[in-house]
Amino acid sequence: MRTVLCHPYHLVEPSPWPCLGAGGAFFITVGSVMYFHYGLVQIMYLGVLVVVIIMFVWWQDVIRESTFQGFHSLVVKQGIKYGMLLFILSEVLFFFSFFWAFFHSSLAPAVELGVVWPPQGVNPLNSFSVPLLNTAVLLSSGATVTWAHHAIISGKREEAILGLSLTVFLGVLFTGLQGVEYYEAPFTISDSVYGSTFFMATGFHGFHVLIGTTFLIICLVRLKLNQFTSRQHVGFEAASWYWHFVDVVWLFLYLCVYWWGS
Amino acid sequence: MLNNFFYIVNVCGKKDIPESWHLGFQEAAAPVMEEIVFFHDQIMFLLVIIVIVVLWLLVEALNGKYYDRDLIDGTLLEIVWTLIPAVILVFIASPSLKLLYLMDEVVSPALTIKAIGHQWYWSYEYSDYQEETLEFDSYMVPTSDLNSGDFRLLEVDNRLVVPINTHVRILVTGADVLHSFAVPALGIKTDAVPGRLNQAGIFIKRPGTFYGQCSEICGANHSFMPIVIEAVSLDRYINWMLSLSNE
Amino acid sequence: MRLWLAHYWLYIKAHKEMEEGGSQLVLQTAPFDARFPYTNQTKNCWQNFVDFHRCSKKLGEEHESCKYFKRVYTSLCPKGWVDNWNDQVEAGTFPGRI
Repeated sequence: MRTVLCHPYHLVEPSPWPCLGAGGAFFITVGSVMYFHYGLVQIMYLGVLVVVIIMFVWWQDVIRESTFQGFHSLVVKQGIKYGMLLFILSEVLFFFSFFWAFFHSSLAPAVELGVVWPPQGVNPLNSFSVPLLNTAVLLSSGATVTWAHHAIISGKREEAILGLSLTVFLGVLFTGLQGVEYYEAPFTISDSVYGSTFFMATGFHGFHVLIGTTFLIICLVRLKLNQFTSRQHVGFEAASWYWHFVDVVWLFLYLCVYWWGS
Repeated sequence: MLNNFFYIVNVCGKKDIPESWHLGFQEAAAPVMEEIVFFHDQIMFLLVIIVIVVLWLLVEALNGKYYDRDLIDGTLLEIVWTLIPAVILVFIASPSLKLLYLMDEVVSPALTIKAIGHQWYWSYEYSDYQEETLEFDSYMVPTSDLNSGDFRLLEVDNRLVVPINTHVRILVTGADVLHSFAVPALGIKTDAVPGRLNQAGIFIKRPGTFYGQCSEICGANHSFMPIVIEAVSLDRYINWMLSLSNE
Repeated sequence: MRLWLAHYWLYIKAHKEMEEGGSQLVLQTAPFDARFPYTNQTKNCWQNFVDFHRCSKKLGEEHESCKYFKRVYTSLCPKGWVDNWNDQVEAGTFPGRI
C-alpha cells in the first residue's frame, strides 16, 4: 500500500497493545489486592508478566516504525525528545517527594527518635565506604556513556560498543554493590523513619538503575544489530539522558542521605 | 409564614446547639469565634456584590443584544478584569491571615487541659494542681438513657468543666488514630494526632454548655464521641476542682 | 525575653504560695516558652521531661529547679506519655540523653 504524506507527522496504525497493556495493569492492581489480603501472588505475577510482554512487543513495534519504516521524521523525533524530557522531569518530581519526606523527618527529628538524626539506636552505613565507591562507579558510567555517544556520532562502531558495554557493566556493578550493601545493612525498612526514608529513596533509585541498565542493554543490542546511525539514534539519546538523570539523583542521595544523614 | 421560613432556613443561630436546618453559626461564646463571624460577614458582603455582578453580566451576555463581531482583543479590559479580582482577593486574604495568627496565639494561660481522643471517646486530664493528675473519660450518653430536653448524640456522661473569663490552654492528642477536637461556639478545631501535642487557646466569655463533635473520621463510632464543655464561673470551677481533689 | 522570664517568675512564686498555703488552689500552669511558640507543643513537653531527669541526676529530685521542670512537664505531657517514658527510663530504653 502506498501512501502519499502531506504532513511530517506519524499517524500510528491501530494497535492492540494499549488495551492489552491496560488489562495487564488491571491484573496487577487486582492481584496486589489479592496478595495483600489473601497472600495469593499468582494473579499479581500474571499481571506483571503481561505488562512486561506488552512493553516488549509495543517498543518492538516502535523500532519497526522508526528504524525500518522510517516514520520518525524530524518533527516526530522532536516530539519524542520532548516527551522523554517531560517524563524525566516527572521522575525528578517523584524523587523530590522522597527527599521531602527525608528532610521533614531529619531536620526536626521526632521525640520518639530521641530528637537526634540518625535516630537513637540506628547505626547508619559508612558513607565513605561502599557508597563512595558506588558514586565513583556511577560517575564513571556517566563518562563511558558519553564516550559511546560521541563514538556513535563519529561513526566509530567498535568504540561505541566498547563504551556502552562498559556502561552496562558499571550499571550492573552498582546494582551488585547496592545489593551487598542492603544485605549487610544493620537496619531494615521497619527501623524507624530512618529506615523507611532510606530504603524508600535508595530503593527507588536502585529500581531506576535497573530500568536504566535495561534501557542501555536494549541500546547495546540495537547497536550490534546496526540499528543506529550517526544521525539517527533517538533511542540511545533517551537512554543516556535517563542514565544521567539516575546519576544525578544518586549524587543528591549520596550527599543528603548517606553523608549528611549519617 | 416568615417565622416559618426562618425556622427552616436557620441562618442566625440563637442557641449554643446545632438545630434543624441550621445553616449559620452558633452564637459565639469566645472572642475568636466572634472574629470568625465578623470575617464570615465581611466575605459575604464581597460575595453578594460579586454574585450580583456576575449574574447581571451573564444575563446581559445571554440577551445577545451587545455583540461586536470585530472585537478581537481588549488589553485594557483584560488588565481591569485581572486587577479587580486581585484586589478583592487581597481584601479577603489579609483579614484571613490576621485571624489565622490570632487563633494561634496562646498568651499566658491560667490552666492547661489535655484532651485525648480515643476510639471512641474523649478523655480529659487536669494536671496543674497536685501530684495526682485528675483524669476522666467522657462517653456519649446512648439515646435510650437520655432525659427529656437532652440532645441526641451530643450529651456525655462526664462534661469538661472550664472557667469563664480565663485563658485556657487545651492540648490535644490522640491515643490510637486521628481524631479532631472541635467546638463550634468556641471557634476551635484542633487535630488529635497520636504522638503529637497540638495547642489551642480558648477564652469563654459567658457561662453555658457548648457542644462539639469529633471532626476527623476515626472509625465506626466517629459520630458518637461528642464533646461537651460546661463553662462555669471561676469560683464554681475552683469548688468543683477542690471537691474532686478532696475525694 | 523579659516578658517570658517574668512569666516563669510569677509561676514559681504562685506555686510556692500554693504549697505554703496548704490546700488553696492557685490558677497557674506552665508558662509560655519562647522556644516553642507554635501549635505543636510535643517538644515543649519532651524537653521539660528530659530536663527534669538531667536536673535530678545532678541536683536531686527535690531541688527547687527540678521541681519546676516536673511541674511544667506534668502540666503539658499526657499522663500516658509520662508513664511510658518513665518505664523506658527505668528499663534504660529511653531515647533521649539524660
